Amino acid sequence: MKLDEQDLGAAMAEAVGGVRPPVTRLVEGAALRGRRFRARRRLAVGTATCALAAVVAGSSWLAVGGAGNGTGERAGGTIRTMPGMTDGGPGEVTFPDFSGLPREDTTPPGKEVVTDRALAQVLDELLPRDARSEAYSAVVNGPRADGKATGTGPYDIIVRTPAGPAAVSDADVHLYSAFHRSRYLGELFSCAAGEDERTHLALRAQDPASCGVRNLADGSVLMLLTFESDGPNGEDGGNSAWLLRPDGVLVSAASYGAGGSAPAHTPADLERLVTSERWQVYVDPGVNERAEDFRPFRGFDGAVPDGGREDLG
Amino acid sequence: MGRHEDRQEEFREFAATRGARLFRTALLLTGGDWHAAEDLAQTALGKAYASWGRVRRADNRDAYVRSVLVRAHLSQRRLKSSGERPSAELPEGAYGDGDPALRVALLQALAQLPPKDRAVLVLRYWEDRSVEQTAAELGLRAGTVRNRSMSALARLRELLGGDRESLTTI
Repeated sequence: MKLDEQDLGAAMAEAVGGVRPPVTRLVEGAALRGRRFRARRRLAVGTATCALAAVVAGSSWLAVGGAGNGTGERAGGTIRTMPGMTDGGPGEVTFPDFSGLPREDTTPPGKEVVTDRALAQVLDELLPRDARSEAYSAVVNGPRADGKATGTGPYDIIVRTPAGPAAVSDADVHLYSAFHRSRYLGELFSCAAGEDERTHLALRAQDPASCGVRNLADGSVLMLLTFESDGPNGEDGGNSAWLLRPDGVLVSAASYGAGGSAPAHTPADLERLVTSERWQVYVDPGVNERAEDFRPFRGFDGAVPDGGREDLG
Repeated sequence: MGRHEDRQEEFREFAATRGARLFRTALLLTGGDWHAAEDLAQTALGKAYASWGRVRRADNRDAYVRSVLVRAHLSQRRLKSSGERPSAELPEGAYGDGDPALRVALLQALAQLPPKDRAVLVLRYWEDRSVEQTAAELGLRAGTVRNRSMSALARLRELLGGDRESLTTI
């Protein structure tokens, strides 16, 4: 007697058809995870395209008006353009000339890849004294050998203060060492919302309340976003700042207020944070050595980087 | 009710009506590991929640979320090298009706197959997907799905051994 295809289908139905799944727990757990996935996506950087994107048409359901008109439409209201800034997008800002940058992302002579502790120390020292956190965590994602960065990137770094009632402050900083190679660079620095891979990641998850893009004196491109809270049980309100520097590094920072509370850091705070020259992917060895004893540092809890790339849909 | 609340409600309705089927698929994919199946189903639905604006416009929401589930399963298996075996501790009464001996034999046998082979069998014979649909969902060629399906079925026969008769008399 052989097990054929029909038998197997029937056997599978017999084996699990009578199972009584914990549906209520599934629904509640899924909603909770979904909110975390969204928060994670706000922080994620890159242009990875979800393989499932091809399954459905990725049309933009939200659009902002042209540059300089001050406002744009969004489903729940109006996206305000921040004073002194543009809506971004092709032609509205000038990108640095990246042609002179190395084609390979390798560690410069005499430098090494920054460690997670060194990044945590930078964040601690850059935060206002009254906003420093009880603990920090960080992770350097990239090629590794024997637990150490290999020297050949790109690197994708997250450093954060823990969210929750114990946190004095809640801030995340994200560095990506080769962002200038992104395919949709111009579109990504645009306030135009949508849901496909050409939309800024932060805008795919949630409609912003206000947005602005401008060049800084050194040629960097700065984008600021604010999001309004939908209340204690809805999306968290928050602010984020994204800076693409002439060295091809992207530095982003975000601060979200949990449960309807206001975020700890304003857009101006975050602009100061991301424009600090202390955010470097490659540093003098002494920088890492000095950070070896940095406390409080409790390692990364794994909530953001684990599988984060897959969530970039 | 605002747009946000409307969408939340829409998602919850979708998850409540489709969650059971999704969980059963996850249970087969995980070779009977109840907790892993719950984790997998929550992950797939959570990703659907996070991208609900996109999912709700999909021609086939069920297929979309099932694809997320299968990909999450394969992705998790890549990250975790630990062996898989059916969970010894199952929630009391959770399995309801059905033949317990058959269930244990089949799930244990499935658990010993490579994750991708298991995914092929589950999509083909539990989800009743065609070779081409299975290939599309797994990102494989149709010929690969055919070959994997045949070899996985043969391996399953070997693993089931004496238990096979109970399967073929359903």
